[in-house]
Amino acid sequence: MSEAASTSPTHERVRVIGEALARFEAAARASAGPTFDLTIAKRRVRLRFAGEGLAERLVPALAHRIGPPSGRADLTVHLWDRASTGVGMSRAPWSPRELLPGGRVAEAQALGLEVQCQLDSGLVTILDPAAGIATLWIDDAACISRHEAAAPLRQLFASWFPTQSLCMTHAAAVGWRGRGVLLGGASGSGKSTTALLCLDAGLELAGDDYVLVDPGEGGADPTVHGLYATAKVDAPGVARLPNLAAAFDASPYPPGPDDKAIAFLHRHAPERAGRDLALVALLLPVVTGLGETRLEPMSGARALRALAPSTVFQHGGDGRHTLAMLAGLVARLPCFRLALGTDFPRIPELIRDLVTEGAASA
Amino acid sequence: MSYRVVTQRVAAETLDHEVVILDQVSGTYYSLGGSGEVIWEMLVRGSSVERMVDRLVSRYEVSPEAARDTVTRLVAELERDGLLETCEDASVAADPPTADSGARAPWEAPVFERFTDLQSLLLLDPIHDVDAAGWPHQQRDDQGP
Repeated sequence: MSEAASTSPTHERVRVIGEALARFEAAARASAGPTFDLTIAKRRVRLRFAGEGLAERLVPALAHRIGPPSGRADLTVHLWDRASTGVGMSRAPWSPRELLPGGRVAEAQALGLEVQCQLDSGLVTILDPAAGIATLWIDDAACISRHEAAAPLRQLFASWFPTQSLCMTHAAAVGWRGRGVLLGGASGSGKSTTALLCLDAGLELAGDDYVLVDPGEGGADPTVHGLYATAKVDAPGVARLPNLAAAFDASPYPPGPDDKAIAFLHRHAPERAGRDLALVALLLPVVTGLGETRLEPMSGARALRALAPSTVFQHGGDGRHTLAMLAGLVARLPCFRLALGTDFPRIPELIRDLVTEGAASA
Repeated sequence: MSYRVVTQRVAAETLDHEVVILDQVSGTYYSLGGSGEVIWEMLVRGSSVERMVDRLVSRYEVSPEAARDTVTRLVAELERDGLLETCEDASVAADPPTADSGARAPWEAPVFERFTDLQSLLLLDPIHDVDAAGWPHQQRDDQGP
């Protein structure tokens, strides 16, 4: 084999992911861990852990997706930490000076790999989308951040799901009897507050911050899939959610001065959290400070402008594909500005009425 | 002179005669409406200024001078923000003239809005420290130098 052939992008891609997998297997031999098979939007995702401590931090938010062991997985993620297995990560093939949005390593993309690093925790993920294989490594499971615990594998999923025509979206989603609305907008727009008020009032929740959207390409109905069965709020927010108090009390992540509390809902609201919902509308919440909560029709372009940028900019990757998927979704749904008033009990009522009306006219 | 969209950094979609444009380098996003939609559509094809002017004049009740002024101003703004680059006129061959049938519509000036509130999401993370295997991380407070 010539030298040129031995250093081809394909060869290099196989070598990089192969070395990481070899490290995982060594870690698993040193300290075996559990395996979980998840079903998300009819795709099977297998999480193979080595060592201790990582699964208990990453699995609770995904627990509602665990099913019986299945055959072939569409994506298999191999996860381990050095502290409990004694096995570090394979050597980095690059020396990047900066990370792209989403913590992505530009040099890896030339090989067809998605490599993402979190500077604060030192977490490293490698995804080979063509092979459906990924690795996740961290030095010590205790370094897993709150953000990662509330939305584990988010960046990895944001890279992989688009290969399945599914869009990891910065949005919340709530509904009633299997039909729901997507709540878009940047951080601070009121989407999480709206979503959790609805959950507290008895509605169903797909997610309060990040959800998986099937935009309905090819004639299917637009659907939102609940990826994470979590609720994330600051201390005043916890007080506004009395029916979720037990879930917040049981959480290892209480509210702090600069930290939101995280509640894991798979035990406390298993029938209503992390649900899949057929989408009937897109709402863009705006906090008005007025008493009344109202729905006002909105153009698709304005709705896309409110929904898409924070998703595309946070996750990086192929922004043109992400924007095209979200534009397709917006074109298929009626869009409304949700002018949020201070009469909180009215907000879930309004959304339930909207979803129920949609069912009646369908 | 011809221009084309810098596809490595720009994502754009059109809905309801409005173009939503995302600059994946700066984190700025844009809305382009009115006749701006027509101009953008031609920029995506690598049209020359002349062809864009012809198209506006055939579609709208606008003089060639006013159309040229509109195209020049908009293209200058988009180029200044790095969304466009100049290209050889040869690419115009891929952009056949488009005939607008029927009466010309009343003139609509481009409506161009720029939003910078999400730029912080795209700040690149400079790497100062790497671990023993060369992977980037931040030095933790409880770690020695």
